[in-house]
This record gives sequence, C-alpha cells and structure tokens, in this order.
Amino acid sequence: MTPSTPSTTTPTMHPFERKADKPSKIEINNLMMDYFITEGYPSTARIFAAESNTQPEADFEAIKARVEIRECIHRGDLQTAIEKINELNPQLLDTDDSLHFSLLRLQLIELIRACTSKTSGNVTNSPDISNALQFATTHLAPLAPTNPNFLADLERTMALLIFPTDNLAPQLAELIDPRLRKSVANRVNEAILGSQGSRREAQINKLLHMRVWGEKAAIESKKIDIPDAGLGFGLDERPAAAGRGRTEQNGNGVMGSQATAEGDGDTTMREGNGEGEMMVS
Amino acid sequence: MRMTRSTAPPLLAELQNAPSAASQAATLRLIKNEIIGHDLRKRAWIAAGLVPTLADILSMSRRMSGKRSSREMNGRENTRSRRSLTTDDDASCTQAAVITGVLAQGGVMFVQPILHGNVLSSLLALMSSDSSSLSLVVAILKTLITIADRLPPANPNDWLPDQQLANLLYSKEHIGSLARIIRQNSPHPDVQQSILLVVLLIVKTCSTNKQKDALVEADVLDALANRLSSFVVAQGFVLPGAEGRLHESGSLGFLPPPAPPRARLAPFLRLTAVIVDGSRARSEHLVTSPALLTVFPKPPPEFAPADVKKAPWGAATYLSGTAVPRHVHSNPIDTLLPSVSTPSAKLAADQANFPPFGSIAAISKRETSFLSAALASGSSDNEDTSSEDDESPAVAWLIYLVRNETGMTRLTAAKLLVTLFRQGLVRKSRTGMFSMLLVPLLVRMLDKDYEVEEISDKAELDVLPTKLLVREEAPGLLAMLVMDSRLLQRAAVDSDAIKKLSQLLKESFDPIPSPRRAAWCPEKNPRFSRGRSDKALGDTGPSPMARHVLRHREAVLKALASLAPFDDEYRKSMCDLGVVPYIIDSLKPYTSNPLLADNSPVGPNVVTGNPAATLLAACAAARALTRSVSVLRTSLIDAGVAPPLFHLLNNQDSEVQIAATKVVCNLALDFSPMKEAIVNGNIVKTLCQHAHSANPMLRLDSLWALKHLVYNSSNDLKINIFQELKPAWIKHLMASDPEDVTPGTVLGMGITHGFGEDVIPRLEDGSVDTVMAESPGLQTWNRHTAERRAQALSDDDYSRHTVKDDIMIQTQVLELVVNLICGDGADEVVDYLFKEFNQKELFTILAQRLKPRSGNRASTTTTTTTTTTSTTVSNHSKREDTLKVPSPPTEIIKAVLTIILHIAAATPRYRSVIISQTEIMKLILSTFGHASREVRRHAVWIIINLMYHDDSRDSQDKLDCRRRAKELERLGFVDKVMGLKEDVDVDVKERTKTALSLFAELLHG
Repeated sequence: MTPSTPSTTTPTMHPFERKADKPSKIEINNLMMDYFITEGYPSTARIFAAESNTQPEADFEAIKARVEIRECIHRGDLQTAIEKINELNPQLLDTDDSLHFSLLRLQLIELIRACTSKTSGNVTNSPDISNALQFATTHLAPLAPTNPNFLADLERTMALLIFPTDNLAPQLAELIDPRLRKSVANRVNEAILGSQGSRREAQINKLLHMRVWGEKAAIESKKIDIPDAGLGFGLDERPAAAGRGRTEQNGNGVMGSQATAEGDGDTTMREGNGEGEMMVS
Repeated sequence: MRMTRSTAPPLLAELQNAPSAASQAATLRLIKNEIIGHDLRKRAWIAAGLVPTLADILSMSRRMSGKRSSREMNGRENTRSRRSLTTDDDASCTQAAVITGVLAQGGVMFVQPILHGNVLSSLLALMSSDSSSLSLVVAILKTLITIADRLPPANPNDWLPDQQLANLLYSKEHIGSLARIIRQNSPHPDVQQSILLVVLLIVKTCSTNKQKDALVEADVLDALANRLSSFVVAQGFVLPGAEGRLHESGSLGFLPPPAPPRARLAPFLRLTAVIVDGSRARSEHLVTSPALLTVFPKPPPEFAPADVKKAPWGAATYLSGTAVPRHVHSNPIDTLLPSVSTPSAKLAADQANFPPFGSIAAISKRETSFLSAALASGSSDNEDTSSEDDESPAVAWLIYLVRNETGMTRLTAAKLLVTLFRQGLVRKSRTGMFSMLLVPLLVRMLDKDYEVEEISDKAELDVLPTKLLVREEAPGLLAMLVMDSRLLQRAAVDSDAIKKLSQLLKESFDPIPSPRRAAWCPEKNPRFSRGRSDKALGDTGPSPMARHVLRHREAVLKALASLAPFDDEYRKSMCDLGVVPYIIDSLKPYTSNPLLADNSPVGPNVVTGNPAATLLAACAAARALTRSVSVLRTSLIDAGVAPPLFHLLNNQDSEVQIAATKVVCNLALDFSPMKEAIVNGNIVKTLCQHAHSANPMLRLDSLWALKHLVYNSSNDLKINIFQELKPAWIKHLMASDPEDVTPGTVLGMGITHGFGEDVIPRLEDGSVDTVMAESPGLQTWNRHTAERRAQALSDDDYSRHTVKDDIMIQTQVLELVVNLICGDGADEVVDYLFKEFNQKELFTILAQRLKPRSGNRASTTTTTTTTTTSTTVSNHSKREDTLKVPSPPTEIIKAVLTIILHIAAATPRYRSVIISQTEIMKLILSTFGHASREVRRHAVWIIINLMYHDDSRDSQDKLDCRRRAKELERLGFVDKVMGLKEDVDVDVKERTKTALSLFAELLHG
C-alpha cells in the first residue's frame, strides 16, 4: 500500500502476506472515498461517508467548484467553464498554455458542431461558419504559433469545417467524439487538483497502473510464474490491458479514467462509479 | 465574441463610470476573462490605460472605507479603518487585484507599468486593513508574489530587481500584518493558504540584513518558531520531560497545538533559514525562542524514566525506557541518528594544524559573532561560544529531517541546519557526522536525475519547478558547509562533487530555453509604446528563469571556491575538468542585452555577463585557484584571467572591486608569472587610486596587492608607486593612531559614515610568518554578497568598520613600506624615503607607533614584563591582552621593527643614524620582553643588523661597528639579548646566539 493513504493499520505488525490476503475494510473504504473526492462525486462521497462511517478530510464545497466546471465542459459550455476556472484560480490558464489552448479548441469544435449540425438537414449546404471562423481568428490564431503542436491541432480542427461530419477520417472523427470533452474535463480536473497541492489522480488509479505495470514486468521477466488466467481484478485480457496501462500514464487522462472504470467493474468500485454518474447530473 | 481592440475602450469607460461596486466587479470579471492567457490583449489593455483605472478602484475603496475621505490616493492612512468594506467593494477589489496579477503574469515588461501606477501601495494597504476579507487578502498575496517573481531592474541596465515592493512590505506600516497573518491559528484551508503565501512572499523579497532584522523585530521569527514547534509536536519529537517544564522561564507555558495533518513544513523551514542566515544574533534568537524552548527544553542533568513515559513520543517505541541516554551531551533525538565514528585523530589534527587560513578564520568569526550578538540583543550569554554544551536539540531534529524527508523539506531542513552551523550553533563535534550524513546528500542533490516530488511539495505560485529550486540551492549549501573544514571538503570531493559542479558550471552557460514564442497578431508590426509610465510596457529584463540560472551559477562557483582553498589536488582536478574558461567567463560583468530589449526576436535567451553576486563568487573561485602555483602557471594564464579581472577593478560595485583586488593580490605574488602582466597593465595606477578610497576594505586590499607587487620589483616601480600613492599620504597614514580615528571615519579620511552592526574584522594577526601572506579569509566573500545587497539600499553600508580595520590598514601601509625598502638596491629607496619623509619626522612617526597609546609608559612596561614570563601564552589570549592594555597592536610593532630592520640592513650609514635615535632605541629595548616571538625575533635582528659590517677590510666601517656595539651595550641591549638566550622559540634562540657572538667579537674581540 502506498504511504499516502492514511495509515489505519492495527498497531501490531502483520506479515505482508496476511495483509495482502485480507485487506482491511477501512483501507478499502478510504480508497473509495479518495476516489469520490478526487474524481469529483461529492454527493456520492457524502452518502458513502454516512454509510461506511468514514470521516472524509476534504470539505465538499471545494469539490463543488470542480464538479461544476466538469459539468460545463461535458455539456459543451466552454465559455462558462473557462470563466469558472478563471474565478477559481486565475493563474491556471495563464500559466498552462496547452490546457488553455485545448479548452479554446474544444470551444471551437463546439461552435463548429453547432453550425454544421444546424445546416446538416439543410439542402443549401452552406452552413454559416462565420461565428466559428471569427472565434478561431480572435482566440486561437494568436496562440497557435507559440507551439508547433497548437498549430497542427488548430489546422486539424479547422478541417472539420470542410468535411461533412458523417464521414470523417478517424483523426478528425475523434475531435467530434464526445469523449474529447471527457478528456479535456479530466485534464482540467487534474490541473485544478495539482494547483491545490493535492494529488492529481485518485489513489486507486495509481494502484491500478502499478498493478498493470507489475504484472507486465513479471510476465516479461519470465522468471516469475504467473497463472495464465491472470491475477483477477478484471485484468483478464492481460497483454492488451498491460499495453494500455502503459500508454495511459503518458497519454491524455480520459483513457486512464476509462481504464479505471472498466477495470473496476468487478470490484467494489462499480457501485460507487455508477452512483456517482447519476448523482452529479 | 468580441474583438479585443474594439472592446477595450468601451469596457474601460464602463468600468470607470460603473454605477455600483457590483457592476464594477462584473465588468472587471469580463476584463479578466478577456485577458487571461492572451499576452497581446494584456498589452492592448495596458496601452488603453487599464493600470491607472485599477489603481483608482483599489484606492477608491480604501477611501470609502477609511474614516477620512481623502481624495488623493497617495495620502497614507495612519488610522486603520474600523468600518468594514462592503462585500461588493471587497469583490471588486478582489477582481482588481486578480487582474493586476494576471497582467504581471505576462512578465517583466508588464510589471513595470504596475510599479509605476502606484498599485502596490494600495494593494498593501488593503492587505493590512482589518476590513479586507480573507479571499481578498489571498488574492492580493498571490498577485504580490507574481509581481515579486518578475520585478524589473531598478534601472534598465541593472540586474538587481526593483526594491519598491520590498521597501513597502518591510515598512513599519505593513510588516506587522505579515506577522499577524503568520500567527493565525485556524486550520481552515484558506487561512493556511494565506500563511503559506505570506511565507513565500517574504522568501522572495527579503534580501538585506536590515529587512531581516525588521522581521525579527516584528515577531515574524517567533511566529515561525511557533509554526516549527507545532510540527515538532505533530511529529512527536517533543523532548521527554518537556511537559513537566512548561512553567520554566523562557517557555511558552503550554505545548503548541500540533500542525494540521496536511500542512507542509518546508516553506516554514525555508523562510526561517532565510531570516536567520548571516547573523549570529538572529540564529540565537531562533534557538532560544519560547516555542522551541518549550518543545526542546534544555536538557536536565539526567532523564528520569518516569519523564520518558509521559512524553508524547508517538510510534517511536524503541526510544522508551532505557534507550534514553543519560549523559548530558546527547539528546534522545540523537539516538535516532546513525552513530558515526568520530573522524580519525589524524584528520582532526590535520584541520587544527592549518593556521594560515583555518584558525584565523575561525577565531575572527567567533569574535564577530560574539560582538554582534551582544550588540543586537544586548545580552551576552554564552560568551565562550564553544556551543559544545548548549547546542539546541533542534539541530538533531533538523539532521533527522534531512535524513528522513525528501524534496523541499530535505533541502530546507538542510538549509536551516547549515545556517546554524555557520553561525556556530552546532557542536563542532558534529563535523564528522556531517561528513558522512549530510555532505553526500547535498552532493546527491546536484545530480540531474535527483528526483524531487513535484506535486506534494509544489508551492502553488512558484514560477520555477521545485526541482530547479533544489538544484539552485544545493551548491550554495554545500559551499557554506564545507568552507572551513578540510574534512568536509574531502567528504564532498569523495562524493564526486568537483566533477558534478564543473559540469553544472558549464551548463550554466547554455542558452536559456525561452518560455513562450511570439504570438501571432493580425497587425503586421504591432507598435506598443514602451517606457516608464503606467500606460506603457516597460523594457524587458531578466526573466525569472534567467535569474535562476545566474543564481545557480553563483552558487556553483561558491561551491567550487569553498572546495579549493586548501588542497592543491582539488584545484588541479578542477582545472583538469576545464572549469577555468568558465570561471573567466563568469568574471565578465552583466550588460543588458540590446537584442533582448526588443521582444520580437525569439530564440535562445542568452544573458550576457554576470551580475555582481555572480562576479563575487567567480572572484572567490578564481582566488581559490590562484593559491596554486602550478595552476597559476598553466591554466589561468593560458585562459587569460588577467584582462577581465583588471576590468573588474574598475567595476561600479565596490564589493566587486574588492573581490577583484583580492585576486590581483594573489596574482601579484612574487612567484606568480602574472606579476609582469600586472606591472605592464595599467593596474598600478588603479590600485593606487583605490588605496585612497573611502571604503576601508577596498583600501586595505589595494594596499595589500601593492605590497605584494613591490616585493622584489625594480626600484623604478617602487618609486613610481611611492609617487602614485603620494608620500605625504603614506606619511599621514603612518602617523595617525588608529585608536584616535573618530568612529565612523576611515584612517586617513575625514568623511563620516554610518554605523553598522555585524562587522567582521578580518585577520587581525595579519601575515603571521611573512609579509607575503594570503589575503583575508575566504568567508569574507560570503559576507560581501550580503553586504553588497545591503548596499542596494544604502550607500553608507560599506563603510561599516572598526578600529581593527584601521589597524589593519596601517599594518598594510607599514608592510608596504617594508617591501619597498627591502631587496636589492634598497639603499636608493631608503634615501628616497628619508628625503620625502624627512628623516627626523620618519623616526618620530616610527617611535610613536611603538609607544603605548596613552603615552603612559609605566603601565606598559609592567604589562610587558608580566607577559614575558608567560611567553607560551596562546595567540588568542595574547590578542585580548593587547586589546585591554593600551600598548600598540602586535602587528604594528612588528611592522615598525621590520622597517627599522631593513633600514639598518640598507647601508652602514643608516645604522649610525638609527642608533642615534635614542627614543626609538629605548622603545626597541622594551620590545625584547614582548609576548610575540615574532616581535622578539625582529628586535634581535635589528641588533644583529646594527652590528653588521659589510666588509671587514674597511677599517673605518669596522670602527663604526665597534662604536655602535658599545653604544648598544651602553643602552642596555646586551643584558636584554642575554635574557633571550633561553627563549622558547628556537629561531629567537638562534638569532640571540648570533647577536651575542657579534657582541663578543665587537666588544671584546
């Protein structure tokens, strides 16, 4: 167990095996509470706290702002999201260029989505894209040359104006995919957590990554005998899961969180996760 | 979406004419969202006049909330307003403060208009006001920190940041509110955040001793000690028995509440180290603060086991009961540290046996700290500051932290520990432990792959990543730690410090990665006016990153300098690793790069040259290397150390001049191949000019360098230097009594200067063995940096000096004369000297210098006779004797005797002249009983020289010689010389034999 989880072990020392064999209920509860708080499910956390009789350290008010911002991004209301972020921490977007840019780009995508969807049924086939164009000129274009990645991203996004949305190349399709919203929302969540001096990621995610990595390393070393069926925890599709686990840490956040959601499916997490999604709507 | 250029004016007008505070806040929010993340828009808004409007808003609300409604926003309000700000006012002020911070985020250029717009004073007034809400205070603090990181230089070509913010912050008006914020007790996250922000703000702005003293006076240090002790409680490190001793004097009377579980210790350690650094008085203030005495009471003679059980020692079960040591010198925390075998006797002896440098530095340091402590606190407890017995248990706690924590906590604990060590508050016996436990950790921090946990330790607003902060500080800590100890130097070198430092020095010259590339703008060449007003962007200045790189370079150079002073092998390996060209590059002064003044070319951001602090460190490194003859002959010459160094002699910063002069001092040594270059370069003239400087240190070192230079040089050069210095001036310097110099003036000057504390008199014993000694201790550069910063505030600071300084200056003058009149062809120079000085007056002056100060001969003769009996008395106590009795300082006596000795050696003609000076001869007679062996030896030498005959075939000469011997006998010298037959000093004994045989030959032969 990583040291950052509050230590609730009984004073007498157990051998590691016994501990790993039967994890303490309190520790599992703390782990879940950490997940709810970090991932921003305040009402779930509150109910869980009451049911499991745990005392969460964080105050729920602080989570609320994060949740609101996430909801705005999920809804596609980027303007409000940016304003809320600026209200919460004016330095966040000022110092994190790439986060700022991805928010603005998502805003552009939403604008494009709005104007193209309006005209999709229209026969004239000439959507009014002036809004999107003007937004790109004012907000994104000045930032684009500051970073080669920005420029490429902007170009790809602008391509959405040209091609019809129903038949896009996979590269462009992922821009339209709502999962991008989730990914950006996750990045924002992590950045806010980081700026508040907390962990950027739920503890369980870290543990999962560590597990996946450990299993992969064990298999690659070929010295340790591992049951073919895997070690449980829902990581049946071993090689694939392992590969994904590796990229998740470097790649964008949404993949990580999805892996968590999937990976957690069989364990206690399912209940919390599902409930959380319901609660925050 | 609005276009920027069109939105600015209407929004601004809306803002200025806002009907209510609420609508004003709303407009401010709009503007904030408009400019965050867009530098071009920030520019446009500044050009449109946003800053004055912000200043108005911030001061307006102040006016509204104040009792008196002063229309002028400059009017300082002394009475603090009781009426609270309305929430709308508070909100609009918060927004205005945030926008100021957002603008400042743009960089140095954007801070200039803010400084001009009088925004700072309004922000600080709001911060200090009782009526401001916590969120407003937090917003203001964040903005101030952003500004503090990006301060432009006070003048376009300067390096040092503008002092406006620091001056305001540490003024009487606001310093109290800093302490008030730190003292807050609530565990509420916002309160905790405001505390951290204040701590960070002080760390970033506090640089001078004056500011640090002001912070101590404002109880900031005590408040910090409270914080630290609450961590001690939380970690369970309260000493056993502390609870039972809460009511002893000096204690708080209660145990501080434990720190909140998520609170971070590092910021508090960091600020404590910053405040304490550089002053013994402040360091003692810390370790004797009530809070620390409460958790770490002075150990009772013995711990009763009953005490141990009561003590709040959390999980440390193995400490209970019998594990607690019973002897006084240790405390329970020490048992948590690994036991380290004490360094071998050989090494310890090694260290003790290094008088020219180590012992002198140690002695002068000790004396100083004692002086300053007495001066500042008025109390003189622990005069014999050996600190063996009364080391605070906090030291052991810090060592424990360094070993068991990571990242910033480890670094800051090490910083505080090393600072206390420097101030002599750590047992000397810990040196062995440090060599094993501390030095390797510090050296490890120099590694690139040294992992620092970024997230948990990240102070929210630091511009630089924690990793860089650690890398910046670590070399400086290493330097401070190993400076005086060969053992620690060896430990560092064994951990591969030289290699790592050399690499770091090289890398500090790599181009600085530019943070942002230029943004695209629809207009072709956006023209924004620049200048020093509140509506225009200022000039570019050093970016936070550039400042970091140069501070890092400075620290690395210091570390190299501290490793090099003793061991030639280390110096060689540094040269082999190729540091010399980089040190020489570090000797080039900073010039603001004209290319950088324009924002358009983006690319590698190179800082040209070095600011004064880095120059000082580079001089120290160069000086350390010049101690090695072989290095001098090869690397330094090849790399061309001379030109930049000579250039620095004329630097505008007098501290840099002094540091450069010290290097020249070593280069001018007789064996140095650089001597020629110095003579050829136009350096002599500069040095002579500097010898006339009002700055005592510059004067001292210039004279020192000249002294080295004239040794064994041609008579032409000697006469030339004589004339450059002006014989009358030399005479004046020789004739004045240092004790008579009125306080605040320098010997030979009539200018009054300010008074300062923390004076470190340097090297009282001067050059003990020869006149050609190494110039004063290496530690002085450290002081110089501190003082140089102080100088930024007040020009008077450099003139802080004492009688001791004047004595040293006079010693140098006298020794300069010695070197002028010795060597081949000396008689010519002596002739010149007699002509210029008037022979009679010269002897009068020399006699004056030998005479006891008060002219009360009786008292001195008694003291000298008493001291004769105990000639084995140590140097240290002897100096104290000379301080107490009004007899002239030993070094002056020695120098005067040497002058007489050399005059006597020049030609037989002068021997008769000397012997006819009855007063001088009587005074010489009295020196035979002097406690210093040097003085006695010189006295005997004079007698030998007086009886010396060049050519025995010359009967006239021989006759004269006999006459002189008779005269000496008549004056009573034979008896005196006989008295030295059994002298403790072998050399004196040998000379005595020679003198006696001469007497025998001439009187009876």
